[in-house]
Amino acid sequence: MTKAMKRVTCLACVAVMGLGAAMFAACEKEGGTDNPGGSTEKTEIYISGSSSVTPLMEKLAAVYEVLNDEVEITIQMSDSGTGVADAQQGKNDFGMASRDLKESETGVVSKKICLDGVALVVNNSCSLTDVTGAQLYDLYANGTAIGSVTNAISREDGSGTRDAFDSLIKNAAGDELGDLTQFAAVVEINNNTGTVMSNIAANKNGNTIGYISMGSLDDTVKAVTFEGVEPTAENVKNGTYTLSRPFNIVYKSEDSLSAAAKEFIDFIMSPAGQWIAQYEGYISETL
Amino acid sequence: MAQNAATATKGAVRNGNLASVRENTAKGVFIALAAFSILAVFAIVIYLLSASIPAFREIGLFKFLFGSKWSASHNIFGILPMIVTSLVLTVLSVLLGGILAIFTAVYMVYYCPIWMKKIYEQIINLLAGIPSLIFGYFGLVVLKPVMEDMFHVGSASGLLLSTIVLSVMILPTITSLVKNSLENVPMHYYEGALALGCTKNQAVWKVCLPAAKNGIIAAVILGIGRAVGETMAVQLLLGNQVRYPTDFFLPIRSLTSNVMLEFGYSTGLHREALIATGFVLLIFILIINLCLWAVKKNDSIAGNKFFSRKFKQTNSTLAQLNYKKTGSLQDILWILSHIIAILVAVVLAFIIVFVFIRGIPNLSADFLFGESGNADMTLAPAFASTGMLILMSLLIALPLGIGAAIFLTEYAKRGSKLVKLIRLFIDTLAGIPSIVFGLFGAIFFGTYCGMGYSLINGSLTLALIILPTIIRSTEQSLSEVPDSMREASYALGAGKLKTIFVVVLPQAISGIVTSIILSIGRIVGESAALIYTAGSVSTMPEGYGSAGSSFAVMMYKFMSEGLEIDKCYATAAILMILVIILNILVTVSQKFFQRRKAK
Repeated sequence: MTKAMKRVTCLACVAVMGLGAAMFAACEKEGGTDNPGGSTEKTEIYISGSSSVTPLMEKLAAVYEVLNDEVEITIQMSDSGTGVADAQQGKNDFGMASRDLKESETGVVSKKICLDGVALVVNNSCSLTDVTGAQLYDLYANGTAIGSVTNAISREDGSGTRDAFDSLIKNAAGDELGDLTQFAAVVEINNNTGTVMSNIAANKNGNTIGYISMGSLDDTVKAVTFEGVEPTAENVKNGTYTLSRPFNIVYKSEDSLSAAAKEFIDFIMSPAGQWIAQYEGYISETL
Repeated sequence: MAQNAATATKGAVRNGNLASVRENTAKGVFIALAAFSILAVFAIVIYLLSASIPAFREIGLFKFLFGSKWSASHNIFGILPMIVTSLVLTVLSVLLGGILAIFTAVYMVYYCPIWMKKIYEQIINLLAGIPSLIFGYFGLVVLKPVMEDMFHVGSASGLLLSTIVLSVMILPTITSLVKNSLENVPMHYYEGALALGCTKNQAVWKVCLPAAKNGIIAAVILGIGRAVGETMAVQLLLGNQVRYPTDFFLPIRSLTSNVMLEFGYSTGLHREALIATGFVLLIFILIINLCLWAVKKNDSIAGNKFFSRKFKQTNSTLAQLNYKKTGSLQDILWILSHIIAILVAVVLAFIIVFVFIRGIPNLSADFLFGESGNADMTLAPAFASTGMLILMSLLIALPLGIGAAIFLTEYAKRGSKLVKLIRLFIDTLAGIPSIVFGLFGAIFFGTYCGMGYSLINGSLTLALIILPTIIRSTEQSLSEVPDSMREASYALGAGKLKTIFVVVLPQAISGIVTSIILSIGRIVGESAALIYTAGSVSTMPEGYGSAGSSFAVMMYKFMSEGLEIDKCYATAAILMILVIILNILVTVSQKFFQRRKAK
């Protein structure tokens, strides 16, 4: 009896292990070659927060890791709110936020690492070249078409990009988009930059406008000018292009930072770090 | 459970019968394993409830449930439009998907030649395995522009687009279950109908299909669960404004997409309101399950279980008799089932071709296995994380699931109250949307147990998700083992435990293996439950304590940053290849077991 029982159990086990572990085994090997012996202790820096800041932070971290062999940086992409909350609870070395701290977010300080422009994007086939704040307000609030553009895309409530957009777009009377509790029916809501871009890129008849972080601009979509001003780094820096927002890092206090985290922040603020930000399409205030 | 076993042990020792000790202990263990589903459901319900009470209290229960506006930045939280959207979307997609699925299942069981049936089984399994992110992305970049041209609307996002995609997504779930129950209709139903002068079409549509009614209801339950809970695909396609679904092309938001969209950004009352949204979703699942449970008749298909053959045991083409066509409704249905079956195959082919054309050119050895860093993300960590998630969650869920199935089929009195209760809870667990599991994992395992974003958190959450699949599939194949085999085993003097492990389980091993492979497929494609539990990092996991991204989460990560669309497609292609490999594994293993059985 036991023999037969064993055979069944064995079979079941083999099935589980075999199927489950096949891939695992394959990459265990891979992991092994990556870190032979694992003898060197690495100092870890754990960063979490805004998905808008994440692409920039990943580039900064990559360069920093090359410069400092003994540091390993892990970036957990989520959002500004989580970045701040994690910093408050001491869960990360520092958080990333693509907006200024809210009044309710106490116990932490923020440090501006660079500025990000908010680019207005349409499909490459769209004939629209320029929009004004009032036009955008009317489209988002009342569904009034801007030429051939009848539809719009916004981001979800709480997104740093949307915070910036909602507070900067006003109508003639000075009402902010952010005061509205509901957009017009022509406005769709997407929950990340990538979805907005895919949506616009697939919009072949060119009737939809959206907004994304300037650092994420590429040739799959076309950026339009805002009140006649090109969305470029210089224009954001000299204040003529007004759709911009800060990229912040958030931590409890200077003293609470670990030595490694402090050094990394120093690197970010150094000309080298700022140049990387500039190169990636963001705007340094110090360079 | 321990007490149960202990008292059982005492009684048995007094009898001086060692075997009986073992039997009773085993029974206790199996009861405990089966009761775990009840525990899990209670844990989820109670924990989510306690986490959302602050929101109910602060917002006001009535205002929360029946408020028509939701604007987090203005502290307005009313979810009625989302409740209505979720319900309408579910009803429409289950209607459309269910009809398509039933026709497809009928085609597979009664009309297609054997070789074609094998192909269709593969098609359905493949469709079931495609991760919802891929469906969503496909809908977004392919179907949406097409529909905009077709209907001349500014944006096709909304009810219609989501219904179409969602119905294709739930089709395989319903199809395979309907197919199973059609195959279990006793052959004499069909033959009897033919003997009474029915045409084949009449026998199929008026006798066999109604006979499989219970199975079809069960299939629809699962379909509803899948539809209500679908998150990743619908949040890409709905448009996500908080409005009532008054038009097919209006941006609307479901309960699930509300949680997915805003949970990450939320703090304080906003977060509590989102947990409360998840709780309302859960209550809906409970209500739906209770209703269907009340409707469902508990008796299975009548018939002589010792002498009647099941449809699956016969070659259906042999029965293709050429009675004269009557031009009746059934003949129209016959044509329809062929058309729908072809449609399903075409849809699948289209999605696969789309993913491969966009994805394969972006694949490279370096992208697959190269060292992943912050600058150049590769899939190597995803291989490791996914493997670890699969291993751990199966290790947790398999003993639980198989044990529960054994209790349900072998120990419990058929139709007893306990069995009904456990079944109800398994159905409930199966219906709980993965976003709710994700919420539960995030706030219970993550915050309360202090696991944070970690693979162990993800594995535990996944184990809960795959448990019902394993129980159902194992139970199904256990119940197909004829009682005569058990009786023969008892007659030869074998004990219950021995009968189960030596006679019954080996017969059911193919079902268990299938459930394992299905579970792996579910895990590989899961994203909604993992983003807030296992996290989304691009680094190699160092153990179960560190965060890790599965393939689907990695795809989501590439997609959401907007700069890595090529990598997103490449990951999608890898996911598809994995799904195909898993399907081949299912087929191969089933062949293997059949051959073994034949010996």
